[in-house]
Amino acid sequence: MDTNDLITSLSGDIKPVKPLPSFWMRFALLCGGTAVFISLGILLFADPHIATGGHIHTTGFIIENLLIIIAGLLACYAATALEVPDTYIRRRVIIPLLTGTMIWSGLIGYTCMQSGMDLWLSGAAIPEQNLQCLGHIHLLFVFPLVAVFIGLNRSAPVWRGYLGYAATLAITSFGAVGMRFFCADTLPLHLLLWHFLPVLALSVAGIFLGRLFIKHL
Amino acid sequence: MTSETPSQAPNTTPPDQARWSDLMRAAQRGDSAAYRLLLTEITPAIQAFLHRRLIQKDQVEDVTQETLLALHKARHSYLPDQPFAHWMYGIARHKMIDFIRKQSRNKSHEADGDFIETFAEDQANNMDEAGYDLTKAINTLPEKQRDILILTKIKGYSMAEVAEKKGMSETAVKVAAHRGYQRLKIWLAKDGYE
Repeated sequence: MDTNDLITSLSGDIKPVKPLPSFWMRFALLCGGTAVFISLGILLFADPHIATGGHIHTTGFIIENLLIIIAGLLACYAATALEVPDTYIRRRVIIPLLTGTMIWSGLIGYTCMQSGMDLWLSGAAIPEQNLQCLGHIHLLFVFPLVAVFIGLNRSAPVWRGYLGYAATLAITSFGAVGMRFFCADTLPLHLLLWHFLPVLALSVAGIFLGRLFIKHL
Repeated sequence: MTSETPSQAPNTTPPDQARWSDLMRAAQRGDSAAYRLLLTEITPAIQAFLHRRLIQKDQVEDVTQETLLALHKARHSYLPDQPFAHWMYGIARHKMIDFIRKQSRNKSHEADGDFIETFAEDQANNMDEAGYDLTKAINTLPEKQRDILILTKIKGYSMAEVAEKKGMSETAVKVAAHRGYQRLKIWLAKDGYE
């Protein structure tokens, strides 16, 4: 088929399209929507004693979760930029995404160091009640992720793997903050295995999920 | 991932970009004439962009067409505050990378010519071998592409009619038809048809 024929075919009788919302509107929708979902989850399903327990009033809790929120916001910014084709991506994508990833790497590394070999060997992370965290992961990570991936199919990304990674990192970061209101366990090994490593695992899976489920342009 | 700053966007001047941005916004509102003008004007810019990165002329043509198709599918994603060139070249680069990856996987050769009409005529003129080969080629296509090709090229339905029949958007029909042509070209070129 000749290019001129293709142009004639494409331009013949086109229908109006509704443009995507602006960058900041999409950013607000992604962040705000996730925050609302997680807040509702906490209000409806969290045990009030745990949600307002002593563990959330410590400086360590505040600093840790502030860092996680910053990582989530940076990943959200990168995901919003990746929704639309653009050549000018170094500032909008690579720097925020790398920074968010480094924050998480730092947190995981720090928690690994705090865990100690004796706790690993004692199997302190495996007691049954820790499996409750699996349910929280489904509520706070998986459901919002599914909703976001469905929404992302309206966008037109060229880097689907990176978008999948950025979106997953954003959602799971906010979800990890939410999980602290469901779970009062502050043992570093528990946090590492049931709160932080799922974020890492799901974010890496997000690369493949992005390639599989986000529409190819 | 690499990026280009606005000053590096090739073969476009700020007046071009402003004009293309206006034409794109008109196209988003459904203005066919503006859209046709836009596609006609940006095609040489896309070709020039690809010429610097692809070696063979027929490759440039193919990737240009894929870029125009992708641009068509993604036209809702163009935002007025975004420089048009960034958006356009973002899509062109993506399609070029896709093409290079496919080439290195398939190492296929593509044939020229509007072979489907030629073969349809041959079939009508009772050249059994050509007709058999066309049937065989069409049967290798995925079901959706096969149905669309048969409806448009053999039964003579318009794209709009096929879209209605198949319950698809016209854009999706055009994309599937184009991809079907490309697959048939490759298949028939392997069999020695040019």
